[in-house]
Amino acid sequence: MNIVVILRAVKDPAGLTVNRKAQKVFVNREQYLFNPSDRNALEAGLRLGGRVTVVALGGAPAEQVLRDARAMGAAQAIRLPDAALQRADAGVLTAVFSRLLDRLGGADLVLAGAECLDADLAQVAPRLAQALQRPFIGQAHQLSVTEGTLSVVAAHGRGFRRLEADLPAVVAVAVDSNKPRYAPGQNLINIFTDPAAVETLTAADLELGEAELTPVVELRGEAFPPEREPGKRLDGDVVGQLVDLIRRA
Amino acid sequence: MDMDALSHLMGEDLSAASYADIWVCAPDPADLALVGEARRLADSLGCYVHAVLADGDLAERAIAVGADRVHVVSRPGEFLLAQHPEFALFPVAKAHAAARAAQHHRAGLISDARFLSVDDTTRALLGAYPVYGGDYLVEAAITSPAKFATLDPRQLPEPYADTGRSGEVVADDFSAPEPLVRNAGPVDYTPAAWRPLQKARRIVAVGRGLKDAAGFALAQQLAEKLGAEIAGDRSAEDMGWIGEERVVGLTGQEVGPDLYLAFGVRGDTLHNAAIVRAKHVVAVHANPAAPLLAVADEAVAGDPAAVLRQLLERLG
Ligand SMILES: Cc1cc2nc3c(=O)[nH]c(=O)nc-3n(C[C@H](O)[C@H](O)[C@@H](O)COP(=O)(O)OP(=O)(O)OC[C@H]3O[C@@H](n4cnc5c(N)ncnc54)[C@H](O)[C@@H]3O)c2cc1C
Ligand SMILES: Nc1ncnc2c1ncn2[C@@H]1O[C@H](COP(=O)(O)O)[C@@H](O)[C@H]1O
Repeated sequence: MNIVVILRAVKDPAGLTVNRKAQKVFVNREQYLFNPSDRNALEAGLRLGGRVTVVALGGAPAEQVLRDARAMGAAQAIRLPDAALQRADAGVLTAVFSRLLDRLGGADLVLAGAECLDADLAQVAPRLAQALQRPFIGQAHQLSVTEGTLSVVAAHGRGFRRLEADLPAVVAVAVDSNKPRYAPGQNLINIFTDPAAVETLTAADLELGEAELTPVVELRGEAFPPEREPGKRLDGDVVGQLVDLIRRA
Repeated sequence: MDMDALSHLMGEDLSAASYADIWVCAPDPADLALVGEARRLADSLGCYVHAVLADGDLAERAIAVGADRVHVVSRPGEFLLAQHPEFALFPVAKAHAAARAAQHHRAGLISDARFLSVDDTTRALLGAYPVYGGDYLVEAAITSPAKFATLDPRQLPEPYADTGRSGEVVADDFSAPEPLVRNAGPVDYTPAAWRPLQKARRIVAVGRGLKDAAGFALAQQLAEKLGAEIAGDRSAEDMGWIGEERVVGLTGQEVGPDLYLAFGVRGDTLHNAAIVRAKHVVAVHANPAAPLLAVADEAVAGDPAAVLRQLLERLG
């Protein structure tokens, strides 16, 4: 079974300060994290067995995430370094990943994280499923495969349900759904000293055209919710006021 | 035959000219707030509002809050794949269907959008959405021919209903394709690292101030009614009401719900620091000097169990 896991190096919120008064986001330290649910997706892929290929976009932070993933057990890592892809919207990412999958000769299972620390849009995985005309399952907690049939325990409302689909499929794995393994120290040393541990491919290699690479979502700046006002004591018909509050929140 | 069906027969036409109107996916009664939002946008654009419902009983109300045409189909998300919406609004609960439909139409999509508006000249859809769990918002503009957004109905005002409005219920000849995913039913499952409060939009928190099991049971009833998660401070864990995974505090769970309703929680430093991301905090405590009352957006100095009992009655 061939499994592709899509990974993201995401800006660490611990390096940012949001200053509502100054209406500005300050980057104190430019540091990146292995997006948490992507680590769960990788763990889920490794547990299923088969051959795991990991892919990520970007420069040094993506390289770091991919090397971590190789040390955890991924067989192959591919990085797309194009600076233009840093402005990609979910549609562009979908085009990139679907072309990359073609190039890899397809995959039985594509795994992504169910959410990102920054813009939690939950778009890439379901869009990719639509583009590939494959089944999509989100918020996956446990995956198993028997004879080409995928069975997933997925969060649904406040409980869980079992969903099934035929492979190939696309699955978004929930954060905290498993306990990602630590990479053995010797693997880390081997991978981090191997210059060929991560391959690179460019948008040009994937023969992606201008139209596919042009985002249709432009980011125009930041907005800040108002500061919380100091608390107010309710009196009189407090229950009536609470009912109003609850209905509005 | 309408233009949509015609262009569909002739193959996919993804050019701007074939996309028209605002379409709303509204499978749940609460989603009618999105129809009200669509009406507001349509009035400035001069276009029609289509409401796509799963329940025909909501048709009249959908028209009253702003729909010009109502479509009643078994799977609204799937139906929207076969339409040509210039703008489409989905409830956040249908985020996956929205993403799939957006991909089908090569549409940009703003997830969990706030402050939607349309640029009069370019017809770009403008909106903002929360990042890093709502610390701040990012403003985005969508420039594709079809433009999508998901909205949280609870963030929208109650739509204005005019029972005199006229609209039409369209009989669509639509049969949804067989879903690719099969539902094998609910399973009893507890994740290894379970953090039920992490994504909760509403939390009912309890503390020793509720006094006894009867008081706690009232809080549970409220949580059930509001679709909220139960949480509490250390004292609630000591009372045996909640497990470790539901203790709010810097040494327990840090939370950021839309609504944090605390009953009998005194609110020490560790607890109060763990709720700074909550968008709205309401606290009820018998002691007027309880620190949480000073931190809450709305504070009630009174018997928490008594307030809960009356609240449950009033909510019906
Ligand atoms: C502040 C901000 C606002 C943005 N606003 C929008 C917007 O409104 N609309 C829009 O279309 N795009 C927007 N983008 C671009 C956005 O980052 C990308 O479209 C993409 O990251 C969103 O993917 P997603 O919706 O699946 O994200 P999520 O749901 O957050 O991520 C789900 C999973 O998809 C995979 N994934 C997502 N992005 C990448 C990536 N870049 N590289 C590798 N794997 C990835 C990961 O496995 C991840 O766990 C924004 C980016 C930022 C930083
Ligand atoms: N790294 C930072 N984090 C948070 N606030 C900051 C930071 N740097 C500056 N500020 C504040 O932001 C405001 C505007 O700063 P400046 O943009 O430097 O003019 C001032 O009130 C500063 O104190």
